[in-house]
Amino acid sequence: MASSIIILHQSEIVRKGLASMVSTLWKKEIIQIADLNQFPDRDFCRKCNLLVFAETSLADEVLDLAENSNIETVLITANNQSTSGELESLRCVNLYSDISLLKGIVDDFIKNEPESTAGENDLTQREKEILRLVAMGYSNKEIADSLFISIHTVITHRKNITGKLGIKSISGLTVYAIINRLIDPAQIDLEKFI
Amino acid sequence: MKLFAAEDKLSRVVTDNYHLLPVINRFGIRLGFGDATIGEICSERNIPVSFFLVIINAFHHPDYFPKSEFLKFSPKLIVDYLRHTHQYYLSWVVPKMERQLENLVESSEANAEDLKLIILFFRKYKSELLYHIKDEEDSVFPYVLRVTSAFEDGVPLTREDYGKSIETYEKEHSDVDEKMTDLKNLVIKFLKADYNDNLCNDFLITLFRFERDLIDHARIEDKILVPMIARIEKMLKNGQ
Ligand SMILES: [Fe+2]
Ligand SMILES: [Fe+2]
Repeated sequence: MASSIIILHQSEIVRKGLASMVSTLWKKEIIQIADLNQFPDRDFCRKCNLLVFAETSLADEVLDLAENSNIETVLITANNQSTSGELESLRCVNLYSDISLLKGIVDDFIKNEPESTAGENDLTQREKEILRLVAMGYSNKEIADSLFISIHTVITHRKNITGKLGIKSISGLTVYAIINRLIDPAQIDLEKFI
Repeated sequence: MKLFAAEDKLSRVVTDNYHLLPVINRFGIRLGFGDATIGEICSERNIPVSFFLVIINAFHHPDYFPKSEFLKFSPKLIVDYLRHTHQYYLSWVVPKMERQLENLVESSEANAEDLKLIILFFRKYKSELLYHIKDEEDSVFPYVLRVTSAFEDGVPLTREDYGKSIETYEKEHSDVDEKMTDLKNLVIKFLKADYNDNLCNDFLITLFRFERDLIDHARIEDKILVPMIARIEKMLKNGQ
């Protein structure tokens, strides 16, 4: 699942300033928008993990959108502005906040990202299982038999794995599997497989 | 696409593309050529200028394919050039890459296990590459030279050679290329160990250079040498 940070504020100075601070903490996408019309549609929101920094006056609408999706909202408040009602429970940053407050927020967001985005290029569980067997030196036929699937399906999975990782050779896949702790190097004879 | 021509100064070739330096060295040409042109330097050294131009242009322009230059020079020259290239790989580039990789592993205080795996993988790659080169040196090139002698000097081919064909002879480059790509992706995309960035970059830069050089090398084998010999085989079989 992809993750993005959205900054929603009418003021360009606030948007750009906040974005430049956040970009030191967050290497993925930062979307800057001035009003709700530019907000990604519900479909996109459901498919993504979003952290939205929203101007307080627009927060109600964002909370509406946030229902049933993975949107976490942080308010951008004016100095000393207090919040009430539903907004009270939300975290806030204001124009005088320093980087450490932002870092806390972004770090929490990163921590809560689904595990699959942690650099494994979104291999599915099935693909990981097959990769593990390939790396341990099993043939397509053996893999098909042990997982009760057809050889054709194994080949399709292998194509997808190679496409996602950019690694084709069996020894290359073995190195990948060990680096990513999919297999324990003690399980295989390294000299033979690599 | 502006090709290098005989009237161009060799110094300009080097300043245009310094990656051509080792290519020029393979012809026995060293620096210090002043303002001499390609034509002048080649004739001084008895290098057919058309051959020299094909080689440097093919390296400089990856899309350049010299159809019209075919058979203007002997396949022996190509073999000579390719052997020098192999020598350069074996005695210089491959050891350099291995040394850089070892330095990289040493730079990591903790968690060098992942890096050691990369070394193991590199050695696997290296042994396949060396095997490929040895096969060319020991069997492909000698066959090419025998066919060329039959064509140029009328030395008759043995019956055994007569039944062979260059196209089945030269092994594919895909396996070796594949491991090179894997190695690159493993380091760039997936290596998480703690290591010295500069040493890692040095290694990768050498790897990228070598990849580019190998692509050029394989193109000369597959697109120039093999078709040339195939054509000679056909002419010999037609009794010309
Ligand atoms: Fe070669
Ligand atoms: Fe080759």
